Amino acid sequence: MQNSAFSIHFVVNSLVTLLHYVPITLLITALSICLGLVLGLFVTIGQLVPNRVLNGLSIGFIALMRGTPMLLLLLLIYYGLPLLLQSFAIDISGWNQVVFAILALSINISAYFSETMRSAYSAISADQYEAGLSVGMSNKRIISRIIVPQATAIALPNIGNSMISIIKHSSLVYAIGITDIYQQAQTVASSTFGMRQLEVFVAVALIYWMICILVERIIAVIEGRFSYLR
Amino acid sequence: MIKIENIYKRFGDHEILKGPSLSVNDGEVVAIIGPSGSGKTTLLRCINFLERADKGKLTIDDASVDFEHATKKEINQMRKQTAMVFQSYNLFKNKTAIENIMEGLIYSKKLSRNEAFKTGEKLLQRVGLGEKADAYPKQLSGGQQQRVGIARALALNPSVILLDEPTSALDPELVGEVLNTIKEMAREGQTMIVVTHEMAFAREIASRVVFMEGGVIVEEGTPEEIFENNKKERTKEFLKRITYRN
Repeated sequence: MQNSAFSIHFVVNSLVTLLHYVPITLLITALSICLGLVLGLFVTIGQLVPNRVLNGLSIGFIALMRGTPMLLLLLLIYYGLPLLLQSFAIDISGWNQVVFAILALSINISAYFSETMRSAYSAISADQYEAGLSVGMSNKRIISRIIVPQATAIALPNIGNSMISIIKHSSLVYAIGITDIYQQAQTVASSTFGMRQLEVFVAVALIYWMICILVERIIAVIEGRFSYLR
Repeated sequence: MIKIENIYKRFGDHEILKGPSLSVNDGEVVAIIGPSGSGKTTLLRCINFLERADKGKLTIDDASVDFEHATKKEINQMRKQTAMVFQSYNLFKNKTAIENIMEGLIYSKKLSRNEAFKTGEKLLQRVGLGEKADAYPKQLSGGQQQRVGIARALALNPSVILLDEPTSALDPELVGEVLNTIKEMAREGQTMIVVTHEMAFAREIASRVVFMEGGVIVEEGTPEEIFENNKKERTKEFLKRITYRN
């Protein structure tokens, strides 16, 4: 059989099939990133406020999350969380897997976001804060008008890196039975009895590359808008 | 009028201010000189409440406040009577030159954006930077940044402007433009307290020179009194060292 030769044609065919599953991947990653940013912000605040209990909780959370492999966290949340909540008489066993996937991914990414935000905040020198005080601005105004915009610019490159890594991590959601690009690729590959496995995986790679390059470009454009700070 | 009475400030085991008192009349320019670590900068920072003094009293015009017991509200009110020009300019990096001036006007003086913009334009003209309104700090030279810093302080129309070594961070060739701007302010009768290492400048613009060392005021008087007829041994020694260095 000439099937053993690499078939560009099959790559293209697979690509077309797999493109239908891009929206679910994008949905999961986009929602995870949004939720992760909010969660990360709270963890950052927990690290920065002068309160030892909150500091300890935040630092512990980050250490724990960064030390848990993504796949393991996903499984723990999918199988463990319903059990845990059941003991408080809360039943979430009927929830869609996508919800668990978003929860797991956003909790994971929030730890990385939070580290980025904290270091960006620390990178703003006290000068900027004092300048705000000296012209009579309130604490709140200094933070919202001076500190946060500058910290955002500093945090952007690393936020972008974390986003890219979460896009790739989202391929793990097949483990809890979600049909995303990666899961569908497995299906397509096995429908050829493994004969066209390589073509399918090349198609998957192309899709992830496109998504990641697109996100990189968007981040680069946003970074460019802050160039006057550097 | 601004009056500081028996101000004390300690950082850990180190007592930086040991009860100096200083009174500055309207229109007066007081230059504070002295070696590093003498407490000059700390004194200015305490007046602006960037540091909280441990003890002492501050009076600006008719308002008085006790450093030890000042409430947040009192601090805010006193702070509004003063403005600070920083050694390293401390312009808001994410704001243009004119926005740097407008921030305080909008969020502290509660001016409208429009009024703040007009004031900003006027003050940038005054420090010779009318063309640079839309430049970000990174796009300005040190001297230009410091002039924006001065304009930002002037805009607040404070009773007194505190200048903390305004030319120390500048390249030598940029010192002149900043000193000229400050001289201009002095001629216009702006009350100022200037911490400086520029002796010739202190001599030229100050109505009074204060020599500080070890957290106390060693000697004060007119520029002639301090630079030519000083009475204290420490003042002589300090000025001799400074002159040799120059």
